[in-house]
Parts: sequence; structure tokens; C-alpha cells
Amino acid sequence: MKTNDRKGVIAMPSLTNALRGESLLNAKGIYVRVIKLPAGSTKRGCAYGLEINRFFVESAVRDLETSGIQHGEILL
Amino acid sequence: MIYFDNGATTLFKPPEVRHAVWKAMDAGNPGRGGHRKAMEGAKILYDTRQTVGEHFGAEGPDHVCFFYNATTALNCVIKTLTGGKKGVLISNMEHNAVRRPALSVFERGVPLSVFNGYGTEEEVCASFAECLGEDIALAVFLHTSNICSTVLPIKRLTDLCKKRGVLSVIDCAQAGGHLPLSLRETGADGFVFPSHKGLMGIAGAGILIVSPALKTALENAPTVMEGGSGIHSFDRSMPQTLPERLEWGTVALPAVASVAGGIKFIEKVGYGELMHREKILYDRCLEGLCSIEGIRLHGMDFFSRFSSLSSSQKVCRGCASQGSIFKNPSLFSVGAGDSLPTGDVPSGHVTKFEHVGFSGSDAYFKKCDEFCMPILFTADGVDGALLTQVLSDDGICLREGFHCAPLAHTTIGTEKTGGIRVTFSPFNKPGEVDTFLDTLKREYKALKKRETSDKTK
Repeated sequence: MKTNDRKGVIAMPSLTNALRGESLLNAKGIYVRVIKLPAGSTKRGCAYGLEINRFFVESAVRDLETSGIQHGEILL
Repeated sequence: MIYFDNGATTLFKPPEVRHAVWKAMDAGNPGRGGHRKAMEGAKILYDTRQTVGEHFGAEGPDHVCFFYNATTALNCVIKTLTGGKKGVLISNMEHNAVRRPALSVFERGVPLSVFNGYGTEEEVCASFAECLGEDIALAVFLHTSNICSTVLPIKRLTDLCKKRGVLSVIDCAQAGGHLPLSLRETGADGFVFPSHKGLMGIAGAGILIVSPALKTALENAPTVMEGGSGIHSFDRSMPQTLPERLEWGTVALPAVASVAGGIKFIEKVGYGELMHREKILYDRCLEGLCSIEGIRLHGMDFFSRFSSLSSSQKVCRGCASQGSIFKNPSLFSVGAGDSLPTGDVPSGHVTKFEHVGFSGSDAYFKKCDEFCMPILFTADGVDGALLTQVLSDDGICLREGFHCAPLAHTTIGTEKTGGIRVTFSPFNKPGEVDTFLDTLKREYKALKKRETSDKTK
């Protein structure tokens, strides 16, 4: 997928999970926002993800996993 | 107009509810697009999940699912989690929202047991334990009856379920918004609420709050309804995880959002004051009804407050007559000239409830003694439908009949007559109860006189 040079996307399994992730990470000072993923980024059709500065992807994923929030693949 | 049919739906909605509905009407469809308006809708939906989840002690916002009403939620739970030899246990006090889906699965061969929910705490628990056989996978029962003052000992019943590995789901239609409830503290696996009763939202949403165990069970069982979910459109089945798995099609966002508005109001006022307001109305009404000859109260046999009512110790007549009843009267103003007298709450009259830890059954029942349930009455020699019609003409709204609860009416012995139900909201006022009692007395006397003279002709 085409993303902003400095931005990556963490695909999320549901919109609720995406919003949970957004709430958690923003509270921790990692700015993310929920976006709809472009068609073709997953084979299953419509999906949502967290747009994030690439620099913070690793710590964001760690925080999501620690809090038990499921996530999908990382699209850089 | 005096409205005492809050058990069917609350009529007066707090400003927070109106504001929430208005805001939701201006939002797009959650999960249907990534544009600004769709995301606004998604945020409202998510925030409501969070508000509801926190208020009722859920693990998180993904443990809160929205349906179109409480009945849909109960149907979903019963039809998803039963089948084959996995049966369901219900009480003999259930509303049709539980009775009919349970009968429907029973007619397809699923085991169904019915325990006695109308008795002393010990009798109810003994009957429950006896019915909780190996063929039961799910117990669905009410918190509070929708026709009378029956409250089940939830904590003890859910403890029994846990010991037997049975999931428990509580129909909280008449309890939600009237007293503090916590899924975690009651040990239940699920709570079901409608949006439009005690939670003071608008009609159109039902809420299912699930424990981690119930969440897992629902995620691993086949779905009973399917449709658009906004994600994974090419998948043949609904998404695997809750809440999306159970939310087929578009969510009724204004109705859902209205619940968050209702909870905001409830939290602002506090359960202590809400319950105090309703208790004053309830005690005043009970006492008044008892004083009218020919009026019969039903479903009160096991209710401790009623048995000691004559002592007047639990009737807040003193503070009600002083005119300084409530803490925040302006919050309950519903129109010009409708506001209550101002003044501080007399000391010793408001009990602080915050979040009740239902650790023991005694404590539980003590709290319930402060909580106001429906009042059911009949008038000797006069048909209930006729009496409520006359009262309606006088501007008093009451519901009569069987209240979609034939099982409960059969249990308490009113299956032939039905009954007239009185249910309050914190927006009602003591003066309205007095007007109702005076009108009832007058109209009942007139109808009875007419009835007698018709018979003599």
C-alpha cells in the first residue's frame, strides 16, 4: 500500500479494536489515528488500521500486546 | 399528565440524553467508511461502549454489544448457546423476552428447566440448585420482575452456576438505572438492558454486557443472524470477535448514544438520590393503595419492606411532607412549574450506594429493600382495563393486563385478571402519587357503584 513516507499502519482485526488501540496509544503519548485501509491491502475486504509514525511502531505493538489488544500485520 | 408507566418506557428524558441523540443524528454510519462523519459515528459508538462497560463493571469496551432491543439480545444469547443436549434454565417469573425464545429452543429438542423464582431466598436457591442439572449449559433469569416486587438473589444463583460450569445471563430490564449493578461483583456472565427504561435513553437499542467466559463462548458458537459488519466483507461468516460478531447491519446509533447520555445523568445525580426519590414515591403509593378498600396488591408475599410497612418506619413520610426532599431538584425539572421544592436533604434520609459490592445475600437484599420495583394491584369487582381507561381520561397513565409476562402472572396467581402496574421514574413527584391515589379512590368508588347498580337492574 502507499503510505506517507514517515507513516506506517498497524492493521486491526475490528473497528472496536482499532479504537481501543487508538485510545490506549494516545493516552501513552504515541499519536495514532484510525484509518480505513485501502482496498486490496487485505484479501478479506474492508478493514481498519492505526496510522502511526514508523518510529513508534515497535513500542506501539508492544503496548497493544501487553494490553491484550489484538492487531494484524504491520504495513510499512 | 401523570405518567406511572416507566416500566414500559421512561417518558421524561434528561437533557444529556437529548444532547447525545442530537449529536448521534449528526454523525455518519460507524464502520461504514473512513471519512470524517463515519469516524465521528464510530467514536460515539466506541465511547458509549466504554461508558456502559465502566458503569456496569465490564472488562472493557469490547465486552459491550448493541442490539435493537433487550429481546433481540436475549434471543441471541439463548439461541446461540443452546442446542443438542445443551439446555437452558429460566425462572417462573420471566417476561416473554426470555420465555418465548426458551420455548422456541425447547420445541427444537433443547432441554428446558424452570425454577421457582417466587419464594423466600432459601426456597429460590434450593429450586435453582435442583433444576441446575447436567443438561443445563445456560441459565437466563431476571434480576427484577416486570410485574411485581420480586428480586432474585443474583449473587447466590450465579455462584451456583459457577460451581456447575454453567453460564448465567441476567435480564436487567427493570433494574438497570434503578440501582448500582456490576457484572464483576455479581459474578454473572451477562447483563441485558434495554436503552429506554431505567437508563433513560430512547427506544431502539438493547445492550448485552459479557464476562470474558461468555465472550469466548459467543465467539466460538455459530451465529444466529448475519449481515454487514463493515469489516472483512469477503468472509462468508461474521467477524470472529465481539462485539462485531453480534452486530449485524447498521447499529441504531442515536438510541445507543442515548444510553451514554442516560448514564451520564445517572452518574451526575448518583444512585443514592435516584433511589431515595423513587423510594419516597414507592412507599407513599404502597401505603395509599393499602388504605383503599377493595384494592389488592399482588406479588408482595416475600417482600420484607411490605411486611413492615405498617410500622411506617421505612416510609419517608416525614421528609416528604416537609417539602425539602431532594438534593438536586433542578436536575429533575421537566417543564415550567414542574420543579420540586428546593432544600437540603434531611440528614439520615439518603443512603449512599455508589457501587454496591454484592458480597453476601443479606447485604444484597438489604440494598434491594431500598430499591423500588413495580407495584401490581387489582380492584375487586372492577375490570382493570376499564379502570385504567377512566384513569387515563383523568390524565393518569398506567399499564394494565399481562405485561408480556404470562408465566409470572400464573406464578403469582393473577393469570385470570392480569393487573394494573405502577412503575416510577425519579422524575415523578410525591404530589403526583397523592393525585393518583385520590383519583383512583374516587373513580374506583364510582365504577363499583355503577357496576352494582347495573347488576341490580
